[in-house]
Amino acid sequence: MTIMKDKNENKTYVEDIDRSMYDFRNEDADAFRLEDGLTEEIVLKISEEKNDPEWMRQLRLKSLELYNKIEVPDWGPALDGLDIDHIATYVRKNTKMADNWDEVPEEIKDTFEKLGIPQAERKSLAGVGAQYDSELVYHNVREDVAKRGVVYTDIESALRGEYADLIKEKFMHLIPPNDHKFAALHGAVWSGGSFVYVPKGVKVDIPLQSYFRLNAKGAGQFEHTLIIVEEDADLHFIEGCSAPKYNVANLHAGCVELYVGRNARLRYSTIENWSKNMYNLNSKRAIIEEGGRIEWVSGSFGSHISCLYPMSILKGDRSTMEFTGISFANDDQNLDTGAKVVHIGEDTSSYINTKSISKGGGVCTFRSSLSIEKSAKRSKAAVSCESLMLDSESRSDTIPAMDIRCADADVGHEAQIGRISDDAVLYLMSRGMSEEDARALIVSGFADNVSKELPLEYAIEMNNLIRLEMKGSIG
Amino acid sequence: MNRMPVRTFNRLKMNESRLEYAQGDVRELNIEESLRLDYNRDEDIRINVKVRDGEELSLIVNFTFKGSAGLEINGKVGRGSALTVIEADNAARTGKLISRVHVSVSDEGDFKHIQLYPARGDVYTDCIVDLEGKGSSFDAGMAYLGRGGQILDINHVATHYGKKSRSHIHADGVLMDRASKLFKGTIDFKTGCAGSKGQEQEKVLLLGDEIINRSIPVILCTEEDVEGSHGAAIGSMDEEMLLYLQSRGLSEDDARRMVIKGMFGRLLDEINDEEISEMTVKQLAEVV
Repeated sequence: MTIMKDKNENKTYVEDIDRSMYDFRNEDADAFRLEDGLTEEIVLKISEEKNDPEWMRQLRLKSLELYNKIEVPDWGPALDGLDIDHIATYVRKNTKMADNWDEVPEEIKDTFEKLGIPQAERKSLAGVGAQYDSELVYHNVREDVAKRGVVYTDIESALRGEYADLIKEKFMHLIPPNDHKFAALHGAVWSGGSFVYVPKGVKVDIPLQSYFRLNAKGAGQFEHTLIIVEEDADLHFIEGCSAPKYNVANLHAGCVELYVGRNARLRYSTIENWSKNMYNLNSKRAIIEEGGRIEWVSGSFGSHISCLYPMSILKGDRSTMEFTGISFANDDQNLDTGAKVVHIGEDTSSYINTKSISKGGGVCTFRSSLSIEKSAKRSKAAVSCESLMLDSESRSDTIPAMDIRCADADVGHEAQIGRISDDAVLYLMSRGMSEEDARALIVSGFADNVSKELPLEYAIEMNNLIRLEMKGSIG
Repeated sequence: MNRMPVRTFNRLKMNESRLEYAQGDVRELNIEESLRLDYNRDEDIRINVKVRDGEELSLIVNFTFKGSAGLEINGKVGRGSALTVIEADNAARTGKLISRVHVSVSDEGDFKHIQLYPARGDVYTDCIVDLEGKGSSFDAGMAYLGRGGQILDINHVATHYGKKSRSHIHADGVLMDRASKLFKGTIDFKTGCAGSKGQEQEKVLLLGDEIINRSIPVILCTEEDVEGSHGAAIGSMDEEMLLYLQSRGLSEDDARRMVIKGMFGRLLDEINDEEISEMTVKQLAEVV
């Protein structure tokens, strides 16, 4: 990153985040790659590659049919630059999934080592999964965690193992293929991802992590994450993702389905740092039973276009949800993010708290929907979003929707958009701070309540980059 | 009608409103002086308002028609001038009131729009304001009472083009029985409107078991040097306030009456029109 002084406006600004640590690529000469596009033949080939059970094969075909019928959404960022006929939906390195890091091929191992995986595992994780293009290349869970009955494996293995019936019952049940066009696409070509099962009463004290790396040019990644946290159990799951930058579009259309049992808690943290040629059209949804709790922590920094609105269905009485998110859009980025929540159970509560920063022509949109059904008596909800504009080339929009159908609901909403307050800067300067330090302190404070929720060591460096960028971006 | 400037999730059915209304012949009025209009016939009227530089003009429309009617106001507010439009719905009708207002405001011009909807009929209102001039302002105040199976469909769009322009959209209301309300409010800061401020506030009291309350307060922004905010408080009667009022000797019904009247009180004081006040209080008396 380079901090520069603009001679004309005497403003301090930063060129861009240094993405060199993510922006390296491997040749995929030895990879198995299906031809670009989306046809029944391709879908059947993927199904065959993965040795799908018959019901999954049928689900793929039905999803393809839906994909061809459903229109591209007429809201949100334009997706004109995305052409499925130029996307390879399945790319696999010629390697098998390993549970021993030494068995992972050197080139892939080197990729994840550079990204800090699995050093993080050795330090502070209960288990790690690593996906490279369309397939998992590594999956491991600590022995003491596995002994307590926690299952953390790839979806494909789970489809043929002890939990096969459970997968069949839950897979694309929360996010059915007819939900939207890219859910249908996911249903047709999904590959890779994780299955996590935390038995009743088991509290996993340290997090599990999945890391997704899309190396192949002009390819898509369609991993499926299915997590079931049973009654009274507790889990923190972290996902991270990155890719090298290419001059053609890449596509990520993953799917995350989370089942949170009675009085259980699940924290789902995401650090999204795709490269700036990525269309990130991901779907995430959780259903929460009585007394359960879902916590989303979401950092959106990468992608050319991102459409991401994790949804929480507060089905059980007294279930709760908290969403904490930050987005940082820079040049050539359009990050359309937010959250959706549906209150069904009585005495449910939700809190959405987001921050966004737009700079250098970047576009940030906060988009949300809050629904309180008639049955959700005495429910409470609060939505808070704050946006910071760092220049007038950028754009920042907030589009929060509320649909309240219960008379004794209690709903609060607030949103603010603006720049750095001159009064606050002057006050801090009157206390002896330099102008630059004063501005940096204010902006750090703006993002602090979100960034402090971001998980673990591998996120720290990214947080520092963001703070540094914000520090230099104002003045 | 009531199309949002930007679209969002289609399943919410908020992007635009479907309205079945066969517009008849439109009576057209051109006004350059203040006017009080008793809107007592089922007819469609278009009023073109021009406020010359440095002048003030007020337009009061009191709806008392029996069936359905559509009002369209196109206004131009000149430099340093002020336009006030007051719409009061006191129609004991069965049909719809459709109100469309489109006003552009020049340098240092002010546009004030007050809307009172205490009556029983469905209301569709669309108010588009272009703050084109430097220092121009728009102040919208609305109070409504939704009851029975009434539909209230409200759209406000304030677009800031001029530097140091101001907008303030304030909507308060009560929903009872099976009333359904959709409030769309947009503040759009365009590049170049440096120093502008926009604010939206919404307060809704929910008093019916079958109510539908929908809101979408939007801020769009492509200018760095602006301040925009919106806030909403939606809920039933505040328990603490109720207890306080009861401790002062008021019954729960009395407390409810006070709150509903309070929703309209500020705007009634502001317009200071005895006839409209009396008619509005009479409408409110039906429920309080």
